[in-house]
Amino acid sequence: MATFAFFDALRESLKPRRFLIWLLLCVGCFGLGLQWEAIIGGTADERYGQLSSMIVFRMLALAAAILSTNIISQEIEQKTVVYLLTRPIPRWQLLLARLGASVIVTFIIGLLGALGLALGVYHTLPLGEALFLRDIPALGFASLAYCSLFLLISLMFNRAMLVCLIYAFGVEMIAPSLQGDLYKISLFSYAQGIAQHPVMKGAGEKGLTLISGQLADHPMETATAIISLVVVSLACSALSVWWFGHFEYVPREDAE
Amino acid sequence: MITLTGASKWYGQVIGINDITCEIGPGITALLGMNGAGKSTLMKLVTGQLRPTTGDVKVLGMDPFANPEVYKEVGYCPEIDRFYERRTGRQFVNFLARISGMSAADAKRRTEEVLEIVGMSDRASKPIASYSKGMRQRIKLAQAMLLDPKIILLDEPLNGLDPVGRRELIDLLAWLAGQGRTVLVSSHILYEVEQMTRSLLLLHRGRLLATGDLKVIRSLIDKYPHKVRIETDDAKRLAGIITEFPNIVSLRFGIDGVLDLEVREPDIFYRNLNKAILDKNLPVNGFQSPDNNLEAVFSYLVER
Repeated sequence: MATFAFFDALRESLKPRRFLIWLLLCVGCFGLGLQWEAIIGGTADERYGQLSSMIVFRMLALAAAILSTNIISQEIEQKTVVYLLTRPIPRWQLLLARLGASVIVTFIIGLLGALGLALGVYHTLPLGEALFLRDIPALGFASLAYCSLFLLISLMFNRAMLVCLIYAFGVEMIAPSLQGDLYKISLFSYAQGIAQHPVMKGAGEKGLTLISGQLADHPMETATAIISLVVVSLACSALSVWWFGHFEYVPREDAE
Repeated sequence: MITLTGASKWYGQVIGINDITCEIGPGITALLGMNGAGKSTLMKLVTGQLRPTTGDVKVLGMDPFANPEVYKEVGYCPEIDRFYERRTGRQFVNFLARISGMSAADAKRRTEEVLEIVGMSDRASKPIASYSKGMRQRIKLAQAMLLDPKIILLDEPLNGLDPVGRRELIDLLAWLAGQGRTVLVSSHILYEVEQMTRSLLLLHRGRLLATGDLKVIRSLIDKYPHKVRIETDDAKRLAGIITEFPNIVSLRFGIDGVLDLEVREPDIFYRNLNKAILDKNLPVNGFQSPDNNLEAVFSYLVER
C-alpha cells in the first residue's frame, strides 16, 4: 500500500505537464549562470555560490512548498481526501509515502537547477567542482527539511501555501542575514552550513547579498548543520504523522 | 454491524447530530432526512472520518476513526461530486484498489468487475471530467464495492441518475442486501426510499426522530391530518360528495374551483375519491397533496 502510494505520488509529480515548468526554471538557471559574469564579475566559484544561494535554494524552497502542500492539503481543498481516508491504508503510511515522494522530486528539481547553473558558470560538467559537489548533500538535506516543515504547516493551517511561501521567501531571505541568533530559524542557514558557499567579495550589491543570505557571516560546522536539518525533519515528520492521525480531515465547508 | 450509542457531533456551535442511539444490521436501511438533518455527519461518523463529540460509534465492534481494519469491511460512496478529474474512471477505480492494498493484477481484475457491475466498463476509459452526473455516481459506487465489503454506505446515491439508472441501482442494492450485507443509504426523498426498503432511520435537525418499519412510520403520519388540494370545474358538487367520505377533517373552498381538504388515513380517502370520480363522473382536473413531502412528515412527527 505504502509502496504504491509512494510510486503513484512520484509518478504524478514527475508527469511532463507538471515537471516541465521546473525544467524550464533549470534552463533559466543555466542561462543566468552564463550571463552572470558579464553582470557581476567575480570568480566562477563566487558566481556559482551566489547564484546557488540566491536562485537554486529559493527554487528548492518553492518546489518543496508546492509539492508538500499537494500531499494532503490540496486533497482537502479539492475534497478528494475522502477517498483516501476511507481506504485500509494507515494514515501514517500514506503521509510518509507521499512525503518521501515529494522529498525526492524536490531534490531532483534542486539538483537539476544546480547542474544547470554549474554548466552555465563553469562551462563544463561540474563533476570536479567542490562547490557543486557540496551542494548535492546540502540540497538533499534541505529538501528533506523543507518538505517535512511545509507538510506540517499544510496540516495545521488552512492557507498553507501562503504560509509556506511567506516562510520560503520572507523568513528564508531575511533571517540568515540578521545579526544575533535569529538566523537559526531559517533552514537555509543550515543548508548554507553544508554548502559553505563563499561570500562574493567584489559584488558590492547589498541587495543581491541579502537575497543570497550572505549579508551576515554565521559560520556553522557541516556536521552541526546536517544534524540540525535531520532533527528538524524528524520532528516535523513525527508531528505531522501524529497530527494527521489524530485530527479530522473532512472537506472544510462541509464542517462549517 | 453498526452501533451508535448516545452519539453527538458538534461543529463548534452548530450541531451535526444529537444523542443518537441505534443499531443497523444486515439488509437495506434508509437514512431519511431533509438537507441539513445530519445524514452526512452520521455517514462520516460511521466511516471514521469524524469522531463523535460525545457518545460512541462502533462498526463491527471497532472504533471506526482512522481505523484501517474497519475500512477493509466498509465501502463508502460519498455525496460529494469530486474526483481526480484528469484520470479516467478506470484509472481512478484502479488507483483506489491499489492504494487499498491489492496487487496490480488483482486491482485490474476487480476494477473490471466493479465497472461491469455498475455498467461503466465500456465508458470508463475517458477522463472523469467528461462524465455526466450519472456516470460519476456510478464510478463512486464502483469504488465503494472494490473490497467486496460487508458494509456499504451510500450518501444520496440516486442524485443525478436517470430513471433507468435509478432502477438499476435500486436492484443492485437489493442484490447486495440479499447477500447478507449491511447497506445504509441516505436520501431526502421519501418516494425514493420507499422503493428501496421498509427499514428507516428518520433524522431531523440532528435528532433521530423515528426508527423502524416504514409502515409503522407511515401509520404514525396517518394519524395526523393530511392536506389535499383538488382542482375542479364543479367545486360545489364535488364538495357535497366528498363530505360523505369518512375521515374528512375539514373542507375549504379556494379560488378558481379549488378545494382544500384535510383528511385522515389518506390511502382510504384516495381510494374513495378514485371510485367517486369514476362512478359519478366527477369533473376533477387535478389534485395534489401539499403534504406529500418530507418536511410535512417531519413537522407532524415533531409535533407528535
